[in-house]
Amino acid sequence: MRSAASASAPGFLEVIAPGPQSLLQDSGRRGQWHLGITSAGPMDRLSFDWANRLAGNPPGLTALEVTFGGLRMVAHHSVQLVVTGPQAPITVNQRPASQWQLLALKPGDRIDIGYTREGCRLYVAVPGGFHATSAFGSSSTVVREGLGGLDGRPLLSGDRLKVANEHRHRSFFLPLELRPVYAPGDGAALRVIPCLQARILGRSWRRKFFAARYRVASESDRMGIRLEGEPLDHGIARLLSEAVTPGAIQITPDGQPIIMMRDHQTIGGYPKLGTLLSLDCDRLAQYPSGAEVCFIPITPGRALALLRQTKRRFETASPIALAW
Amino acid sequence: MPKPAGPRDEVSIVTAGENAVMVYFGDRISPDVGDRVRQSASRIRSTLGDSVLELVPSYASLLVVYDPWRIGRGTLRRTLNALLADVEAGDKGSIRRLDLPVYYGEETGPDLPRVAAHGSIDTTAVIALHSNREYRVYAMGFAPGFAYMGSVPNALAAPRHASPRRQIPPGSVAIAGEQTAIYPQQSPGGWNIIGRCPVDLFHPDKSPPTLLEPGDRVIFRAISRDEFLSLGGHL
Repeated sequence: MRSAASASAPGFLEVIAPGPQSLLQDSGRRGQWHLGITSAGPMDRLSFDWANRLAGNPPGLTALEVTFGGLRMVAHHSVQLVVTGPQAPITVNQRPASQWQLLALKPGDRIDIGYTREGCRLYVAVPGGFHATSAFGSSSTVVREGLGGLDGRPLLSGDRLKVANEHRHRSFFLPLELRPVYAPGDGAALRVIPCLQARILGRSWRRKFFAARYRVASESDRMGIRLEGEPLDHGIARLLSEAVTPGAIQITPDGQPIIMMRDHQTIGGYPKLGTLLSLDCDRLAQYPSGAEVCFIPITPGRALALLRQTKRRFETASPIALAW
Repeated sequence: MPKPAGPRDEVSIVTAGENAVMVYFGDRISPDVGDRVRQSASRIRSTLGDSVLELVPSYASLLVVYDPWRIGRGTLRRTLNALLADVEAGDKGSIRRLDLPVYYGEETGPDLPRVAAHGSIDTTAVIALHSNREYRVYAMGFAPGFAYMGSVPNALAAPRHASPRRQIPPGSVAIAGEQTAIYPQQSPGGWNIIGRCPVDLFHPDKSPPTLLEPGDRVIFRAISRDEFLSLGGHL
């Protein structure tokens, strides 16, 4: 939407350096899997939701997902923005700036988002959201499909990101104790609903999987997180291809698990031994390669209770109001 | 005419995640099973409406992703059981038949010799067996507009490559076991490539965006290199 008055025309942020991969993402596509079109959307939905919340936005507006860091931008008009996600060195005009609160940039100000060592993905939101091409009801970028964002591609140097000319009159800050914990610690336990081919695979196989420890492999991306550990020989020769959801734990022919993430293929033929709790997909999205993980089984009922609890916690958490 | 009372695969409903169930209709590829999957999908869509977030049919399964804040797991399972109890094979409504031109040859189909070797036949016989035969679309997925079709004759049912190719050109016509498909976009893939089709299978701005949908019948027609180029095909 364009306003006639030049004072309120949308401004933009210019990308000086995009980092390894920065993508425009909203909350993702819905109801398109039957066409072969994937979910997309933020890998870590909780940090994305917080970014929009702290920008004063309704849920799901288009924000930036910055993988690892390395994004540098210059403001070409007055713009506010907030960076959430794992801790990263952030500067505005080379002076340290805070995450988890709305920052105000003046025309000509330069923001540098450095590399995070605590996790993998940072989120940048602006009041009113970034402007992006919508495809199939969503602005989320899927590079493989060439859909959403800026012609379906990651940000490049020189891109001008249009932002709505909305300004908030107060800034809110999220205290540390209300933020997600990103570091996996010493062997993070991820919660799994055992299902699908778990029954065919049998009990001893299941025992082995839940006793095993895995490391996040470096060939992981938005499509799937690969894990490495003791190979599991499942002996399922052939499975008719069937639909695949985010969180599905596929076992490849070499016996290693791949967890399907936001850009999952919609149909696949590898056997699956269960589905990761969506909240733990968000956590896993932040684990760097080499991080150690293990799995614990939960029931679908317990999963729903955890979802409800997290939803309530997000809705009732109160950021602290700051004076400008 | 009475239908033959053949053996019927049991329907089973299995958990697939915190807000998803998979309905299985046996474990084989057959037109009867395909019909039951498709009819079940349309019943579920019309009965459950917005409570269903994703509905993905495949050869013998149907994924149902639901909104857990609108419908509980127990209610969903009971509803599905009631809805699917009496779904029979047999096509309702009209069937779409499409002819798709294919330029078969080693220039576009590097795996023609591999498929020929699998069936102990020559490449001309591969082309003759793959074309002029009706396939059914069983599922859409993997990538936008990618249609899983079956079944190819046994002589052509070569297994996929152990390690996938990095880049398969758009329009590539491929075989993996008894399945056949066309890659709509450039993508990695492990299927055997035997030719190329000049027709666009996915266009995000068109409605519907995909040329094919489950239940469609497809016949491949062999065309020459010149015909392929004049139809807009790219080499």
